[in-house]
Amino acid sequence: MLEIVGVTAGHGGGGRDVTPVIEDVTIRVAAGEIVGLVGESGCGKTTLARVVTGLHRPSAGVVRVAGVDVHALRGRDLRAHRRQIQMVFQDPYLTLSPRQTVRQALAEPLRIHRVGDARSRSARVRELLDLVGLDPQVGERRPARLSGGQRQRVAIARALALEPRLLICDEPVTALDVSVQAKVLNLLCDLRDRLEFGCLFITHDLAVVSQLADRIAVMRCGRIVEQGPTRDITAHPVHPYTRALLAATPIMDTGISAADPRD
Amino acid sequence: MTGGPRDPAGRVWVRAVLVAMPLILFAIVGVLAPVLAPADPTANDLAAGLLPPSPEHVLGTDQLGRDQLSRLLYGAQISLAVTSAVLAVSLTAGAAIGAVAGYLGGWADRVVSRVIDVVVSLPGMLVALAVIGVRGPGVENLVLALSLWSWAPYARIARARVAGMRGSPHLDALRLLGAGRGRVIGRHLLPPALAPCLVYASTDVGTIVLGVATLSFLGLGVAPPHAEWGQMLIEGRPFLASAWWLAYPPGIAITAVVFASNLLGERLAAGEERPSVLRMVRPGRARSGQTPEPARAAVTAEPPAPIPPGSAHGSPEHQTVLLVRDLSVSYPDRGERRRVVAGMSYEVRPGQILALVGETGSGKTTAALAPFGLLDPDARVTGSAVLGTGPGARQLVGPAPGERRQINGRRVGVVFQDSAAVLNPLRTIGAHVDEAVRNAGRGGRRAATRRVSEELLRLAGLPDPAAVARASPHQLSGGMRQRAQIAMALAGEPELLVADEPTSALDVTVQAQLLAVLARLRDELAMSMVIVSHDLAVVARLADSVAVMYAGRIVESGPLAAVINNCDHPYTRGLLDAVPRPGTAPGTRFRTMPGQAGTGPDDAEGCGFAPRCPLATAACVHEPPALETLVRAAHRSACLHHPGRPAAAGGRGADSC
Repeated sequence: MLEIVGVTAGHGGGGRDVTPVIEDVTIRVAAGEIVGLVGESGCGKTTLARVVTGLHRPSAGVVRVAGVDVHALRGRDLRAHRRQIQMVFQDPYLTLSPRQTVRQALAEPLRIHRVGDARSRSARVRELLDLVGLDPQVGERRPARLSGGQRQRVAIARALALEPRLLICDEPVTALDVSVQAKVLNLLCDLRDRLEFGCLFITHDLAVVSQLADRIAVMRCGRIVEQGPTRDITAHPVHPYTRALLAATPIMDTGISAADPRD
Repeated sequence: MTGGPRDPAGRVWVRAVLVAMPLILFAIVGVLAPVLAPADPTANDLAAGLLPPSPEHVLGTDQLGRDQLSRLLYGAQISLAVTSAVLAVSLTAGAAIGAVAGYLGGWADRVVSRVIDVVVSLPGMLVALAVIGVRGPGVENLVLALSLWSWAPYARIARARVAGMRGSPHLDALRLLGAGRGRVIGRHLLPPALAPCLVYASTDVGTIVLGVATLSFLGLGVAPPHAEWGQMLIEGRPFLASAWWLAYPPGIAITAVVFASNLLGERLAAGEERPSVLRMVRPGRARSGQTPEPARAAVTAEPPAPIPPGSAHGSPEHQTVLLVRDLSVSYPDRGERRRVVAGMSYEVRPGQILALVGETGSGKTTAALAPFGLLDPDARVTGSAVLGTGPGARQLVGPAPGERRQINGRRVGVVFQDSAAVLNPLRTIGAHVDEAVRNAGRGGRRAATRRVSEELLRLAGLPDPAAVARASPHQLSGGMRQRAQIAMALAGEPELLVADEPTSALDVTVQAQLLAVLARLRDELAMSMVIVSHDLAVVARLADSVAVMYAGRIVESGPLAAVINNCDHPYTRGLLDAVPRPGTAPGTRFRTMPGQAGTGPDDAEGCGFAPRCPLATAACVHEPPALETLVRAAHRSACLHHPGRPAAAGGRGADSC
């Protein structure tokens, strides 16, 4: 679904990068797969997300989504192709227009791409609200009157409005309380199972992706230092940085959940 | 103006409408002038010239016998028409130019900004005179002349707003949704930029009305015989002494409109900006201002004994560094007081770390800072919080500010989450720590103070204290700044360190190092700490005992192992279930709690968690449960059902976490 092959990108833009922020990154995400990209702040995770979504042009390498080179497209083709890739950001409060009601925000992508008429769009909005487990009444509210979890649900619903085949999540649960985070992660898993989209899940939190992702890629200083199936990475890390990261990640290691008698 | 800032938004707008009434009246009169006017404003009747006000001519007549009231009303119509036209042209053009420049950035933005600077700095009347000088008088030229100098402020406002939003992720999100430039500017950038433009326009109405009148007064605006206020003024000028009714009414009308528009602009701007400014100022007052009256009243009600009788842990072998009993904090809310923390009791023992754990809005930070007078001055703190035991024990709730200074910084050190906000960007780290050392009374000569500071920095885990002391806050990483803050907190050799989310903004590897620093302080210096955190995994690494908070109350507390391994309260259980654990199969769903977090201790009559609790029964809803001791004395839980308590016959922990 997503192929990132040998991508190098940095500041300076237009292929004349002065300092590369990410170097020679190769990641593949299959349909229905969640790949976790883990790294600490400043390691280039967000730059990679911007390259994948086409907001930032790489100086080397190719990003293909469903076989199409994202950066070879221009104008109308690019906009049409963007339906395939959607993104969920860390702070939904910043990514939702404060003046739009939830209903308007969800209808926005449909209006941009001229999908359906007013009636079918409003039906789709109801469907989306239902999909992410929001009450229809929430549709009339503006972002300021939503809780953090609700906002992130709206952001996910909006990203899914055009039925993308690839979802990029950039620290989507970092700003949320742990109990809300659990619900949003469950939702993401359920939606992935139902809609079969591929997902690149970017986070600093190894604990989160180790329960969520099928595969994990560990990034450090703009390079992928290790990637592989989640179990391998968490149980038998090879690269010293991955080991350091695992050791540093606070983990509830009192043996509670594994031996839960009620499970 | 009085009131305002604390009002709910709705009342601000009601007042704005009231203030706008004169302008609304002006608009109505202008539109309805042909209906309201008793006579034709241009019909001459030389026989009835210069008549004083009478029932027939309410405002008298001028030298040509024209009805003054009718002329005044028609004058309003012309003023209104010209002003609306000027506003429409300058607002549309200005906002559009500004928004586009702000969105595009680069050279386009630079050129437009310079042009705006030039236009704003030109005297407006001069521009208008020049335009009219070239094109001659007349209504259209008047509109053109006034628009030419009034568009620039709108462009500047719109540009600033749009440029501020340009890098915002929500535009990235829109671009990803496939929105084109036109849509992004037109539907998402222009509307929020228009709001401050409209506020400015309400003030601008007065300026433009005055401009129209001035130009007409100079004979450059509306030509006679049309009734216009400035025109009427100039016509009435020769008769100021003999026929006052000619010049006064248009003069008063102009003054009234200008005043009304300024008043409205002021009110709208206040409604938009004042509350946020106040919010920034008020926390500052919290530290320098006096203790509010109610809190002091609470002190006098306290028993003189430092440790309240009846405490289960008053026995000598249980020395406490901080003993908090029945602590409540309330804030004023729409005329009432709303509690955010209720009936909190906890204690910190020497060399132990107590973690207050909870989610956003649970009151954990308020509960941790309340004993030290670090809350907003509006906060009312009641209950008891005793620092230390024996002769040095001090009641912390509500001492005088002077006494507070003897405690904070000396006996108690505080570390906040956002080190970038705590440290002054213009001073070096060394200056910060030196100041803390001097405030704690340990300062001496400059070099001696600095030696103490460097020792503190070393203690906080900074390997090269001399270099760090010379650095400015922005030259340090987040983890190093946080250690510098810890060094400051340690300056007074405190008995107790209070840390509010000390590691939340840090990367995991840095976080691990900082947790190690805190653990070392406890182990080597026997430092007692209160750590506030939302992260159970962090707490599990560091704390000796835990108090779990929900909606302003402690729902469960006890030794770390007891709370984590044998939790009792359903909320603690739910919180633990939500923590991700490596080793579980990818895609394993979390067990979640239904509903949303409760907001305050008084929202529900009974147990605050009952609406979300799988075990809730009718009793839960009516009866607020007390913290009850479980198997071991220190482990307490506020749940009627005690799902974690082993059954009388059953094995220990069979039904627990």
